Amino acid sequence: MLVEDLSVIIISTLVSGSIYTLMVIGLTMIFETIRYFNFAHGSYFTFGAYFVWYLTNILKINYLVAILLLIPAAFVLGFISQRYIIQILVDREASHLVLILATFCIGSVIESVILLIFGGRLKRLPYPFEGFIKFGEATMSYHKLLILIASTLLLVVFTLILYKTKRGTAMRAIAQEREASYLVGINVKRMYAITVGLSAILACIGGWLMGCLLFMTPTFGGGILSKGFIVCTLGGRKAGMKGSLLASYLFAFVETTLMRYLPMYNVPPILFAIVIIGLLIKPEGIFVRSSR
Amino acid sequence: MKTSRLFAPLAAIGVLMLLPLLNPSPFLLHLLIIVFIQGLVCESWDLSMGYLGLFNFGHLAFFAIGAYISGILSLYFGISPWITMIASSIITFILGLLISLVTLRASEFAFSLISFAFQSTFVHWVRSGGGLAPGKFGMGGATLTGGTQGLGAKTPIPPFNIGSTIIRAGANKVPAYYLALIIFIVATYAMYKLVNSRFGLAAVALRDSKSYAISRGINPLTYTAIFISISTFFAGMAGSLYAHLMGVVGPEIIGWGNIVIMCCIVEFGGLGTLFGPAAAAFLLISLTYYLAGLSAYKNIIIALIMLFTLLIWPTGMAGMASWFKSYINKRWKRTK
Repeated sequence: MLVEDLSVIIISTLVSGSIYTLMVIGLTMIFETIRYFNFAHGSYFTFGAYFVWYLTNILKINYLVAILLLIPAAFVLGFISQRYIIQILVDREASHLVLILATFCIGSVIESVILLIFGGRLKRLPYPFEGFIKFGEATMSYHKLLILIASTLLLVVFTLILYKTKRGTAMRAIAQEREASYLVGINVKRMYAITVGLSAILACIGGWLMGCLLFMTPTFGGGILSKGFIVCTLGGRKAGMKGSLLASYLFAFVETTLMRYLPMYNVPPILFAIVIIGLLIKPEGIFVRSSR
Repeated sequence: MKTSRLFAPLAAIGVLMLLPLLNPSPFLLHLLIIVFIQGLVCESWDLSMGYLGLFNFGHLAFFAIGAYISGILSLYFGISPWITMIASSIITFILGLLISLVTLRASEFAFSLISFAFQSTFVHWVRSGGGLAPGKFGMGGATLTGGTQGLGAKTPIPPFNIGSTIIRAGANKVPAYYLALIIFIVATYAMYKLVNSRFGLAAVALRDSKSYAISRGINPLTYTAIFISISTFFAGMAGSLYAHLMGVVGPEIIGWGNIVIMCCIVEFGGLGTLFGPAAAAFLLISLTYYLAGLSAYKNIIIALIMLFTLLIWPTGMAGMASWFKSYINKRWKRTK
């Protein structure tokens, strides 16, 4: 009994933690470089899921090709929304509130277009791989294994981009010192757009992986976005990549454990209460070293 | 000078007060009742969004909490709607104070993010029913919040009453219209007094130049938290009014579409103008009623209106009005 519970909890912690990581890393990356929180990130999630659904179910394109097409489409979506909409407001030195409102508008436009095209009925993506794998007592579907592998791989690729390439160095430079990066000749506007594009790739792939696991509706990104925000505040904005990762898995662990033993409708309010208590104890986030 | 400034609001109040005597269609009265309730929500949202510059995503959740608490107390426990209205306003005040105090200690960003999480947690809880209804109401398996059907779908939420006359938007529209109008006017006047007091000036100072305001002795945490909780107080009051006038509260009042519409109203009316959102509420809510046939396109149109307002004319309708006024003045002086 206990062993079974434990294995279920561990597997679902790993799976949902990986999905949250994909969301949170993108959100913090945008925040670190451009200083706003992207409320359209949930709709990128939805976009990823519906894009793959459309290609595989309507156009009957091979699954692997659909995923390969998803990556440039996601990048273009993020790039355009930053370069041609948000950048106008950034140039005007608009307040934080206006930026948030603009991203919120973009998100709701994307979601209502999806609702218009596909309707509000529940849909589900097929698994890319069918079948199960056994680890002693525990069983795990290939798809969950794929989620773990894909998210780890994406994070590794991202870390390599950030730390090994010239573009990544430029991105980190902007995050540290915006004025100085203008002076050394970095095209800051372009780098902003690339940052949002990259984080949109993370979100869209997360959406595809989640769309196989759950039923999808045009607003299903919003629930994951709200958990992403909780993780961002709980982990602390200055926690960096490692802190966000730890916070995502911690949050996923608490959530799945509560889900296992309590009635489902009670879990979100309890989680919210835990977050409030966590913020009371440590306002700057649990994975940030206290500056006081 | 003083009388000319008073003229426009007094004229508007007079027209609205006399309107039922002209025997208008029930549709118009119903529309206006909804405009007063939603206008109150938008004005109170403007307190936190416009005057403080903080995005309280959960503002409509406070509106819904007011509606649900008021409905649950009067439906299941038989408390008079006049008392539940006060109780739910005070409860939303305390909740707003709690959330803003906790999150603002971290940062302004934490406030926006946690209010978003608060909103989606509350929607989830309402949709799932939140447990069995108490007493004889729970016999048939009815849930506390009524789930997706809404509270009051089976037995309606009790209406307001004065003596034996019941006040409900479905049954007799004229008393319901007057009740909504009077609460709207009183609350608007209270908010107007608030933003023009020293308290409101302190909030604007905190928005425009935080460090200077702090150096002049304004405590950012207490001022901001109290200002936000006053705005949630009025949201809870509007929610309670909605619950008892309509008789049924569903989870769609905090749905994505409704949030976009309300947010668009505040933005389109002009941030930090108080009367702008009230005027925009009238315009845009009538627009959404006439666009009801195009239900799928409605959200896109509303979101695009909001985006273009942000990009092209950030001051909104209030800014447009003042620009128009100064233009007319200039032309008039030249011809004179």
